[in-house]
Amino acid sequence: MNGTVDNTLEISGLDTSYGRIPMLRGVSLNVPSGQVCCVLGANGAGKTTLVKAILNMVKADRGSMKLEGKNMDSWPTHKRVKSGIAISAAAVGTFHKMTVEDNLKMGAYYIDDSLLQERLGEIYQSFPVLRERLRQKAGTLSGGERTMLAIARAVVNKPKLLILDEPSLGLAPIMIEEVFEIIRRLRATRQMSILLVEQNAVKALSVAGCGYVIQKGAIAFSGTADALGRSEFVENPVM
Amino acid sequence: MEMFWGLAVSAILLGCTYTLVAIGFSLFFGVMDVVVFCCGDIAIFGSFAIIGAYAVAQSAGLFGVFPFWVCVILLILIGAVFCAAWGLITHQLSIKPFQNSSELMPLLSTIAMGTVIKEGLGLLFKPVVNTISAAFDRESAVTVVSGRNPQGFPSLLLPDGTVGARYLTIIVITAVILLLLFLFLNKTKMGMSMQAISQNKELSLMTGINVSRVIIITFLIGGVMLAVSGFLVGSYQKLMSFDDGAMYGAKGFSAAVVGGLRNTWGAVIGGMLLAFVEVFVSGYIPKGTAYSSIAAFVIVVIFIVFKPDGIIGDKSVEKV
Repeated sequence: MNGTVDNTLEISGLDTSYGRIPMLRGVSLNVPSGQVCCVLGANGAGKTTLVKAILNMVKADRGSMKLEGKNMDSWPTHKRVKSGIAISAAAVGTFHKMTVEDNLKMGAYYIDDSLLQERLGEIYQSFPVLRERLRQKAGTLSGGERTMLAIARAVVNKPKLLILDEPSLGLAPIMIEEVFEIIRRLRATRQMSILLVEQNAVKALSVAGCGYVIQKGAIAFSGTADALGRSEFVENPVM
Repeated sequence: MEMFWGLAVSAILLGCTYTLVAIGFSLFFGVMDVVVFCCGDIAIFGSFAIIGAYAVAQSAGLFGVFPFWVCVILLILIGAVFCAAWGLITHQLSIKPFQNSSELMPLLSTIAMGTVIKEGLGLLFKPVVNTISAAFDRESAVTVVSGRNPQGFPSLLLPDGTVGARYLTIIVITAVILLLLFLFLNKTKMGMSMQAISQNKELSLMTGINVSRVIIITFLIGGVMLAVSGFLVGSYQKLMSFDDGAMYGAKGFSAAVVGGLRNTWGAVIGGMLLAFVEVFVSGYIPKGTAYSSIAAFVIVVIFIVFKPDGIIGDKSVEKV
């Protein structure tokens, strides 16, 4: 990688709105390369809007975004994905009538077939659950398996930036443990930078190096994960 | 028993024409979540494009230059191009501008688009007796001019063959088209993307599918399906009226609902079911012909009440 670029994602002064109601206000955020950054916030604080704005699924009114130093403001969603941003959003679900294998292939939309086979092989090693379910329709998977599939689908691309939007959503504690184990493994390879959007502050901070708190559409805290862990935001459970 | 088989064949033929219109509805509904109510009119637009192209080709003497079957394929292609173009126009003018408004808007605007097509055809194709009889089926040279302005559809399928052979061709063409569509939807990246969008649009965007491009291609392919349907309708009915689209649209939509919107096989089954009900009611019930369409729509009502998801349906709430 280019040595001068140390942030995979740089967002500065991002504003978005739903109709005439402002949503995000002046959000600035960096994801250093090879690191896990978490974004904490309550329901409705703007976490998902932020994620969608990064993919241009929600239009930015102001502000600019850079991927590895390249300005991507004018890129449409598919170009951003192609350029190396992958997202796994638990709430968005799967292609429920397709098999697990086809779901993974849809994730690898821009990869040619020989490379795809190699990548799928790697995926089955990291996600053994999925290998057993390959021919099964995604709609028949359990909640935990679906989350695994959503993460695997995003990872197939080997993105520069992996965005995980509430991976622990609706999962049993034992599954949450497993999901964070996977995030730890992904972090250990250091091949991708991860933006982890979570409500579960304790879990998120256990894997993150830097952290942000988003409140009512604005960044209320930014700093290292340790500092965030000691701050009022985490100690006060209401946030 | 002979009557039974005769009716069964007619039902399958009618079912073929309904099926392709129903597939148009399903494809469009799949990617846009919108019922495009002018599918029937686009199909009939296709048949009239073929009628028009035939008249032009004949007056230019092209049938002497090329072998007959080449001309037939060219005519169908012309119909397909016209319908694909009109599918695209429909999307650009009457669906895309209303993407962020209420679901009722594209419903109304596609009905309006249907009316535009219908009345446009009515204006373009004046009742011209002479060219009709020239374009007409050789064995039944009827020239009818009425208020509804019917046009003769050129007999392009085996004009010298028996009626049975001609009917068989209609069935074979439908089967081939369905097979091609099936392969396209399941074996190509574009086809898989269409299915992906139909199942989860948000996730499709996140996966990096160029959704707006896939939608445009869907409208082009749907248009081609409708053109083939228009060709088959013309070859089957022999006499086309510019407002036939309303009925074909209603039947195609009903077939799609009965089969389960979004589902290609559902469209086939729904189309066949509707056609069988219609044909058998007119065959076995005295004076049943008058009630055949009513019977078909009663089936639709029964489905909407008892199995709104259709025969092979999603368990999702459909917005119609």
